[in-house]
Amino acid sequence: MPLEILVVLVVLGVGGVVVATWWLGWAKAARLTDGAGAARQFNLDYPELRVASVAMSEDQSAALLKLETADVVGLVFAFGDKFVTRRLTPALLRTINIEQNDTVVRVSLRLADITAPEIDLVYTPGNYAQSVEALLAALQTAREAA
Amino acid sequence: MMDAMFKFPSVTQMAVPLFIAAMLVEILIARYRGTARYETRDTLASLVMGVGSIVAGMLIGFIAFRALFYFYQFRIFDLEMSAWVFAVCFVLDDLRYYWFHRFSHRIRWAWAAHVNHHTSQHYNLSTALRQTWTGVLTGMFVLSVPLVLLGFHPGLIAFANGFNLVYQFWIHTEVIKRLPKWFEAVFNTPSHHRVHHATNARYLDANYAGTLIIWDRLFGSFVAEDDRTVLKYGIVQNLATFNPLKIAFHEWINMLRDAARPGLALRHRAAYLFAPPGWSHDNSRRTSASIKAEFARRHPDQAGTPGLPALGPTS
Repeated sequence: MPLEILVVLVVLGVGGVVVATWWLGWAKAARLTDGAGAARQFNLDYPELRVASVAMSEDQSAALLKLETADVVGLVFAFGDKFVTRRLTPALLRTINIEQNDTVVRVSLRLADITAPEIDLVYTPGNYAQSVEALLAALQTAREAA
Repeated sequence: MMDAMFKFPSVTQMAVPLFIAAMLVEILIARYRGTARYETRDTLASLVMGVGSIVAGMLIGFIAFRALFYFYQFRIFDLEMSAWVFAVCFVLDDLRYYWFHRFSHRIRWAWAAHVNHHTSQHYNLSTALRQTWTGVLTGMFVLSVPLVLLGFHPGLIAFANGFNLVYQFWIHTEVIKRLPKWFEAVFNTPSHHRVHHATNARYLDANYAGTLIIWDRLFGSFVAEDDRTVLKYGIVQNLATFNPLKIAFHEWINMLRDAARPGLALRHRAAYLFAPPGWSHDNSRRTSASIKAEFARRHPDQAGTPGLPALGPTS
């Protein structure tokens, strides 16, 4: 097949297929339904780790999970219309950055992961104080001990 | 001698219109019957990987050809071009593909190139085109040397391999559930290949076949799809990027970083390159074997069934 025709076919084909999926509404991001849904997603990848509690972000795009037995925290976040999970071990977690104002607390996790270098989770101050602060403190302690 | 290979057309390039038409049909089926799923950015990433694979083949594919032509001068037989020679070449190349594929899942050096194909959490026809850019660099083309020494022309081998790859395109779908029993017994099918792309413990490292599933049955890697199990596609630790460059090179970078860590023994560095994916010197990571063993421990009633190890005496 002549290269010119191949290039035209590929460009039109790729464009046509991608536009079709977008036009049909298949570009929407996934959202976690609730804490149980977040735990279920996490356990699909880590069935051996039991989830004690879930701190869901305000937009339900991500959640931090307190685990019962391990000295690590779980993370679930939306990726396209699917989800990705990570065990936040001291080796994986590079930094935790927290920005807070009167209405929101933004938690930015920088990971040693080339495909997921930074994950942001947004909480209300009340939710943050109740369920996230202690988790992050435990993570920080584990990092310092490692 | 080099010119002879240009008599063989590029099967995969000729199949491009078929690929596009089939994806559009599958999208229509997904829309109206819901038996397939697409996601826009995932699809774009897969298709860009496919285009990149063609470009990479044009840029560095000659390395494999040159090497195989070197060995062709030492061939034992002078095989003429005929339908029978092609048929035998196709079957032997399919056997070669089986071992290439098996090694690509069991040796991290080869997995670094092949993992790209498994990085989508979707399983549709676009996933078939999420192909490697770096396969030639692994040197796995040496597995074709026995065929060349038997007298199969490198161009004919590439031609047969092209048909094999085109065959594998249509099996990347959830639209087709099961085909007639005789076909499922002999050929690789959507059902068999869904198992291969699934990360459920039972299904890890199973069904490496290209066209003929008989190789898996023969070499003990066949696992049948269980309709009661919801398949989870992707890799054990899924990627969180649609960036084709990161998809193509992430495992090379991770592997080389691991092997270059300070303070490791030489055997540990070598193991980071050539041991199965997930191996680590401190056992802090999971391999497919450890995932299967853990699953069998938690589900002793399923231990020893296809795809899962039996429980040990101390379990």
